[in-house]
Amino acid sequence: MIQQPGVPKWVLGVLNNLYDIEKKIDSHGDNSNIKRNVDRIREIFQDEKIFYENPLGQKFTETRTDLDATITGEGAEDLYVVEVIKPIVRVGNQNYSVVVQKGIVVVQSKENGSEKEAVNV
Amino acid sequence: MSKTINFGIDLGTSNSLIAKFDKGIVEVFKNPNGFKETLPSVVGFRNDRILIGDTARTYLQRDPQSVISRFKRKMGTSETFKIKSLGTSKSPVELSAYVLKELKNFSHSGDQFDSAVITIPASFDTVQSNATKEAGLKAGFNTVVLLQEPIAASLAYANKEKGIDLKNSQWLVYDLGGGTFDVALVRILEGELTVVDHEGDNFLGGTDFDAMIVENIVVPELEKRGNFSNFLAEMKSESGKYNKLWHTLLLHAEGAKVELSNKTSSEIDLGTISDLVDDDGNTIDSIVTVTRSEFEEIVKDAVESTIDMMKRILTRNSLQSSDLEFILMVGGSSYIPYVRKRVEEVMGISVNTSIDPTNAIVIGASYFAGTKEKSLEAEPAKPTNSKLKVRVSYNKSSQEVEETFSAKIEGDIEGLQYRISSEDGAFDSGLKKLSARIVEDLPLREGAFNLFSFKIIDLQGNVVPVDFETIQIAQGRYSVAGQMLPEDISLVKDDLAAKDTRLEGLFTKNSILPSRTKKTVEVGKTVVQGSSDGIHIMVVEGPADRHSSTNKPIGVLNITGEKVSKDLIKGTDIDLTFEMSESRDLTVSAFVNGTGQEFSQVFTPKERTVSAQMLASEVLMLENKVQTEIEDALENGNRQVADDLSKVLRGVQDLIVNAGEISEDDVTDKKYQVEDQKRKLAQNVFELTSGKRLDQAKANYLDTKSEIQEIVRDSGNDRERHIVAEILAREHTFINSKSPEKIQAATEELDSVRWHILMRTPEFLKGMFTHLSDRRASMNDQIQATQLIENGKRAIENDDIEALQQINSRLWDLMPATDKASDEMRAYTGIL
Repeated sequence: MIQQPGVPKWVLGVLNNLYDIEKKIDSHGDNSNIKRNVDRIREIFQDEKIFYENPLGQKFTETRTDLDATITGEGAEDLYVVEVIKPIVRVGNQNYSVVVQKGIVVVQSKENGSEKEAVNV
Repeated sequence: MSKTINFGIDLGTSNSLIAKFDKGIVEVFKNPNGFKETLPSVVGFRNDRILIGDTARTYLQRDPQSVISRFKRKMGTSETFKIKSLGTSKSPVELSAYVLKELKNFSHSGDQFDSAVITIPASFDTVQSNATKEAGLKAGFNTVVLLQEPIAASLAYANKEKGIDLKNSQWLVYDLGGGTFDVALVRILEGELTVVDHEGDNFLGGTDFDAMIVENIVVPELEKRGNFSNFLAEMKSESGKYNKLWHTLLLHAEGAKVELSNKTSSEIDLGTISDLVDDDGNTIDSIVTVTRSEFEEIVKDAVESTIDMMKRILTRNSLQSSDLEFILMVGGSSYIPYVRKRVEEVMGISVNTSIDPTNAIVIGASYFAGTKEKSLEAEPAKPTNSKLKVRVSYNKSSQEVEETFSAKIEGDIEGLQYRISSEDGAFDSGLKKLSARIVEDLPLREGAFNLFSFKIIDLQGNVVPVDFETIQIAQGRYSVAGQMLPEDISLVKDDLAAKDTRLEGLFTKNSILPSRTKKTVEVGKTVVQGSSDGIHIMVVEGPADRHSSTNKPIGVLNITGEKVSKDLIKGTDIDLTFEMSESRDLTVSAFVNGTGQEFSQVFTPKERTVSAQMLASEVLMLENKVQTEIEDALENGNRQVADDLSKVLRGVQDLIVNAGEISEDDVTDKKYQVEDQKRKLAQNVFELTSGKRLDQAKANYLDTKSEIQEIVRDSGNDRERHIVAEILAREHTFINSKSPEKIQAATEELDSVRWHILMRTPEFLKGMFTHLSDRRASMNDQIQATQLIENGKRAIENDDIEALQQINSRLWDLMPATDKASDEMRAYTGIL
């Protein structure tokens, strides 16, 4: 495991809130066209080599260490991410990046809940 | 090798930590999988893997027959835990040994772990203590020294506040963690720290407070805002329809609880929870405010019960509160202001919060370890020398999202385990039994280089040396399915400082098409509505580290005054999107923020777009450049270069005439010919002058490098050191290249770090202030300048660096435009 680069807490705070804004726009509409500004802010961070990913709908297994998961419902097999409280934050670029914040998620067995499409941002 | 033990371990009921004492300083190690200092004391046995820590905790409630926690409470008993997936049982000692071995894995500097100080609760008797010692030996430590937790916390305090005399005094250590509470009376007897008495509750802590917030504050609010029947039961039941919401709200409640330690209220934003609908299908989107006083009301009884325990200790020992020096607060939940306030109020003496409650015990243990000599027989635990032969087989490049890794192991594999972890922190196989042939599916990140470490581990948790350590798989590379881009594609922007243009890369050579990218640029000049003036989004193809004139133009999207709905003000942002299809059609879209308009154009490789007007200005710029270079070569005595450049100049001047004759609607091939000739001449200029630019670039780089190394060592933070180290590590890739632009780019990166550091360095800011003050006479607003300089002097006197920073920046704004010369530059593209 290589040494993780230190990311100031405030940067993670901003990204987590940006993610929340994005999630609210998706759920409740975007009458004021805020999405464009959100995308821009995200790109500015991306240029600085820090970005986040939304693991909603992705498979969860016991070998994933980029997620801090809580299991809901019955069963502990065939798990999928059904709720994302905090996204996964990575530092780097497309070629190589490392996790600097684990995603905080709720996962559920596929038999219990409906499978969702993976969303990558 | 050090003679002292140095390693301290807090082997906790809920969480464990490890720290190292080194030359008077204690470092608490972080979990390489997760950035926290804490490792949940949970061990899981699932699908032939052994999981320790966070991942095991995830499965704790759903798979209790294979995942074990709170085994510390059973230490020293004959009780064992049945593990369904193994078909056998594990003792608390064995489970603790797994946690201890995992903690060894936290070290990032390849430490040899031969001995450790391990903390135990004050309540542990001899049998329980011996069991802990046995766990340490089982984990490969040859010497294990035990230390009581309240003593460890007190040592952390004593080492922090070195000037305080604690002789003949006594105090309480109040330890309220995530799931347990302990309180102990500690006294100094004949110079020795001793635990005199203690009390505790194994089921009281922060996680209970989270549940209280959800049940007592959030749920009643939700019931007011929607129609939920049998809500709490439906949330708490595994099969209940709101069970997901229960876990989601617990996580939000934990965040609110932490926030309430610093603020008087916190909000839980229900709008961020997906699919939050009531029984009638109505979406609930609102905010639940949790005030500190509401929170205090609901945790009141729990906090009172901890105070009762303290009172019992005092009564049993015939003590008054006033006999105590202080109450030392330990454990994450002691951050809660109400806990501190209430304990202080009822007990009538001050609470001591000067140590970090989350890691105080492990820090104290390490201080103790730093003074404790190893026993003579303590030898470094030697890794098993098994002379293993590992033969691996896997695809080094892949188009799949998962790739199978397999290995054949020859040698004595008895009792050995292996572990594969990704270097990016996203995958960990857990500990698995080593067999003659192993197979593991490794998840791959798309379009990335995936690196995994492969380790074989012996029974004591030591890594067995083998000649194979790293698995490297490139995902999405060397694809033949996608079209590769033969050259870099770049955007041309104005560079006011250099009075020239520069290229900003959009797509790099060998990118796989289709591809898409976004850039935001700034309008460099005001464009009046209705005018023929405009800005030009110009895309070129060729080496991105060269000058734009050496690249082939692909297309220009012109946004003129005639097209915009209102004036385009200098400084307006334009969002650009570039999409290149597999057949290399380029779509350029521009969203102008000032007017809200969107412009888009598709350029196909078959139709090369050359603007006559831009071509003419490009040729003029080239002439200027060649003239400057000739003068420069003559000044430096490079006669041959000057002569060669003069020949190029004549060619350029011929082109000026040709270019001037082309009209915008010219239908012949002439503009393409002129463009081709211009590019070749520009290429000549760059080749003729590359030696000079290379020398200059190298000299600049070396200067900047020596400067930054000193600055970053003295004043840089970890991140800055990391960036500089990363640039220096790849120095060989640019310093020996023939490209001055590559060297220049690295210099700029170093320079940017240098500025970041300097701008918070007091000496530099003071020097900058003096420099700016000296130039007051030339500033735009004399009254304001005088006032600012006065304020600056005061800021220096008061050592107010933040204020000085602001004053410098305002003085800088008052300076006359230093870039006046840039106005003379022909605004070429009009974008910056």
